Amino acid sequence: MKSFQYIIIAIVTALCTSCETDVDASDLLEQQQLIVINGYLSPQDTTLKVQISKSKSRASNGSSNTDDLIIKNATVTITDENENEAALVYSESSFSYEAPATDLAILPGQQYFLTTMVEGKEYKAACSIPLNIVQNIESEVRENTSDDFFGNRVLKVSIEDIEDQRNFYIVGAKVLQIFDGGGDSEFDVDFEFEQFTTDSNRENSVITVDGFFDLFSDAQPNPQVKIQVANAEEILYDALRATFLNDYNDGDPFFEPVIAPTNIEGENGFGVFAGYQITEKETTF
Amino acid sequence: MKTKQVILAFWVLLMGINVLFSQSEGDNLKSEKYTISGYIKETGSQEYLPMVSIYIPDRRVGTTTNDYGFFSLTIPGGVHKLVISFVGYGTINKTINLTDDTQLNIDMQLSTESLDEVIVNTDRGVNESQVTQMSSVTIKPSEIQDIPAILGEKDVIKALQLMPGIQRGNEGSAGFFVRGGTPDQNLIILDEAPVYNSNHLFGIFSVFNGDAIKSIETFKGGFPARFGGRLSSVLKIDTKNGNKERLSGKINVGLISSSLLLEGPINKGKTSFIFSGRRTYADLLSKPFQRSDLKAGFYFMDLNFKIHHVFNEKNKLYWSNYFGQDKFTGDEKFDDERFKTRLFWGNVTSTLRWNHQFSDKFFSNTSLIFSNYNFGLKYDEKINDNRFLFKLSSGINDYGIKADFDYYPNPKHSIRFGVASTYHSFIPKQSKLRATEEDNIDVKQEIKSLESAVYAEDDWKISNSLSFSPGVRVTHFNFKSKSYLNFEPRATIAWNIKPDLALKASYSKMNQYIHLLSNSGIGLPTDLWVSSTDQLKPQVSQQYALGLAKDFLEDGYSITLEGYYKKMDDVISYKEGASFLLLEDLETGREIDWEENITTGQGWAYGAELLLRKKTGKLTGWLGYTLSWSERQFDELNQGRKFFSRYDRRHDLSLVGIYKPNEKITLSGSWVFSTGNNFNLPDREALSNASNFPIPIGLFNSGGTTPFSTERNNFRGESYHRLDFGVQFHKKFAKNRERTWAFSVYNIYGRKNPFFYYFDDPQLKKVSILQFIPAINYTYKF
Repeated sequence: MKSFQYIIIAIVTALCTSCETDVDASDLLEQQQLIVINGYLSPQDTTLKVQISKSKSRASNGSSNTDDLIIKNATVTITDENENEAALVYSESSFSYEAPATDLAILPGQQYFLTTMVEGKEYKAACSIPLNIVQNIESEVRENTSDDFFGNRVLKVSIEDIEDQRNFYIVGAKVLQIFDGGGDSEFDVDFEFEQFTTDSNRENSVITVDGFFDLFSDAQPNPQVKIQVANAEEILYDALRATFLNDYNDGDPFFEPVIAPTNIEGENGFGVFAGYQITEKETTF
Repeated sequence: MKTKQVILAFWVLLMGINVLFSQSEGDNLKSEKYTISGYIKETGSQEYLPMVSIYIPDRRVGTTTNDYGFFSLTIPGGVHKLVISFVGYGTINKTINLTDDTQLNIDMQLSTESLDEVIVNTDRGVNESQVTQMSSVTIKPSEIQDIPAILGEKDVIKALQLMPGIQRGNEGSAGFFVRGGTPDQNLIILDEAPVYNSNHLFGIFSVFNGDAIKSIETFKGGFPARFGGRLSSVLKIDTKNGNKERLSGKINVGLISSSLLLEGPINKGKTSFIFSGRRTYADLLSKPFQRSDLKAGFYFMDLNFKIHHVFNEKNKLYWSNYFGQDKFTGDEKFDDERFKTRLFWGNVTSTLRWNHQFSDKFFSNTSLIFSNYNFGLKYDEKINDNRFLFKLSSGINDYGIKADFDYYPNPKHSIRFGVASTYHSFIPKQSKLRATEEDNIDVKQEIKSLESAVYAEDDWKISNSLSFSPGVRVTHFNFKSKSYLNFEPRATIAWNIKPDLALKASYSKMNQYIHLLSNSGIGLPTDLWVSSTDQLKPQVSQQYALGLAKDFLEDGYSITLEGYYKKMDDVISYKEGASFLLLEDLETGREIDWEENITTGQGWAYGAELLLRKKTGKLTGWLGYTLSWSERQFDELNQGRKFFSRYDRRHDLSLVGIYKPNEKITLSGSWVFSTGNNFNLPDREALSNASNFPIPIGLFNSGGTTPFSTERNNFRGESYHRLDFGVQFHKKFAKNRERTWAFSVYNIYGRKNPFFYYFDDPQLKKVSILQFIPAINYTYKF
């Protein structure tokens, strides 16, 4: 079913033979460095995390080591509506600023405020934790008969919509396969575009999404599946979806890259500070 | 309530026209005026000629023929000299003694190809400085045949893209952008029928091959009230009626396609037909070389067929038809497995027109119009006894009726008025899924709407140096219980500072009720036409233009300079990352609310255009320059900030020359230069924003870096330029037969113009297409 895209790409390829050239981008690209701050809060988290890094131009010839982009000497605090405060400390293991969730209670429906000082400049953002959490998740696994999707099994996840409000869901699942000869292995289920789903036009109904995975021939036929469904703030949904779409369509000349949103205030600040609630369900099929 | 308003508006229009009728009749009686009326035709073929100037120098009055070759001029009785002229045709001088209303039909001889014609200083109606209309461009079909084209495929739209204010999109694209608008804001009319998809082969060629075309007229602003429904331009293409005297034709053989034109009388002098067809043949030529178990092919074709019948001088019938299609086929066979894929898209239009001349001053045309655009996909898979069949289609059907009236009460007024109504039936998606042992899935979405309009306009010669074209169009759009009623005033004023120098100004307001959903910007067949609804308001534009037009009549030069400012409201765009017809959505059969994926905003386009043109002599051509800005703002895009549109280009220059030293050779060349397009290029990278989220995003969650950009259209590509060159060798034979060998090269110096950019970190790469494309064509006319 992707034949249409293949035709376009084939025609373009035919017309483009030997037409690719390197371009000196030094004068063409924006060189301004951004301070990129991403932090997501959830009542279900055990650790509060905020990641702070610098951006770099893709045309720069500098080191490609991600470690060089991380800012480790910032001060990061999160406060709640009652001015309770948690200071986050940089952790080498997660490349993020962290604090135990016990330092600051993350509560549904509450607002939280992020303040960071990076190289003498202040960056601020605010988020709200969604009031509700997904209560009911149903799932089933069946054989995949279509050739078009990767994987010989389909995981169908049904989510009971949180009623009477606009919701933005992010869906994921991991499959644990235990092999006959011993040992096990965990794989992510591929939901493709359906990983991001809203209740638009399906308000108060059951929302279903299909994911795909391979059940190996030497694995036991009853895999364990851990399903995760996040009810996220819209800005978080949009930001992660932008990352997904840009990555998924990388190399497609007809794709219009998605501009991710930002709610970081401060000079050259970029990123998202947002809240979500996550529901997890484990099932053995 | 809305219906009453429409009736009231129509009544006011009719009353206004009636007042003018009455006044002019009164004037007529007092000064014993008589009317000369008739038709201007081409000698030999008997084609009616539009835009021919009929001028009476001693009275300093004149008129031009309408689209159907009809003219009417009411002047005092007496002896008058008439000058009938039209560029490309010999000028006719005729003296008449006017003692009564007179019917005057004139045949004009096509001048020789060398165009050594006399330029008549008193030509009226065809010179830029002597018409009220501004912001319009006309190209003769013969010019299109002469301009070098990619792969030798002569193309109306590619030729128009060389005019100032009309810009091409990406390299090779037949989509066009007029004064900062988008392709869906162009109203393309073929014999009164709107054409929804004007592209073949993903936009590389347009659907108009030129063989059957009689006239091409484009409006970029100062829109006459008779046109409406789009914000940015009107491209009006009329086809030939067919030769009424003898059977004639033209065969063209090119590298990728061949075409045939055949025209002739069915009933000599009364009924004629014209047929033209074009088809690419890469699929046919490659057939013998393909494996029996794996076959693929692609072709596109165009068919035009028209019948013209003259009942009598006052009643004529035209039946025009167009069918065009792109089709891809793919077949695979292995043992017990079989796969078939079919993709097709195209237009069908059909128009039945009836010309009726009520009197020597009053002419009408009534049209019944059908237009269809359809995109279809079929996938059929059979593995052993299991069958999987998926069919999908989307499209639009238009059923329209239109009545246009031309009234010429006196030489000072040329009045047009009319009414039009179109029933739109959109099918954004219709799909059918059949699979062995699975439930059938059938999905069909439909949108039905009714678009209607009444209009009136006048070309009023207030004095010898001042003319004014006021107009009004009242439009009504109905979707379910929601109605929109809009009033669109139009006006153009022209002041002749000197006989050959005019200062012009215009204002026009336009509404657009149907919209194209596209996120590729290149005219893919998956782009969808949808209607305004209760939630989606019509797009609106207001355009102001100011210009100078100067003719150098002795030398055949003209120069126009125009500045414009266009404000657009409620323009539509997909939200970030949204699309409606991604194939992935089609596969799932999932219902998607397209209105949810759309955001509306505003746009600004402003700039200046210069056109220096030489229309006569051995060397003809033009120099066009555009300085322009085009900006957009959507609350839900680019963080609500203004951004430059993709094809916002500061400078656009085109130089076109056609040289015919004698009857045996035609040399032509064009050079274009423009500022680079804007690209949306993820030019930065930072740590992935997905790394601290507990759910893996996609199948990557490595915690590495992610490319991103923070501004829409953040990257200005390199400048575009190219030189095309063509040469044609003609040889004439007896009985008007002629053969032509044509050689052309597109992008002769192999400029690597950017098609798109991408990163192979850390290297920025540019992909270019269409470098140095030579072509050869053979044409035989008989």
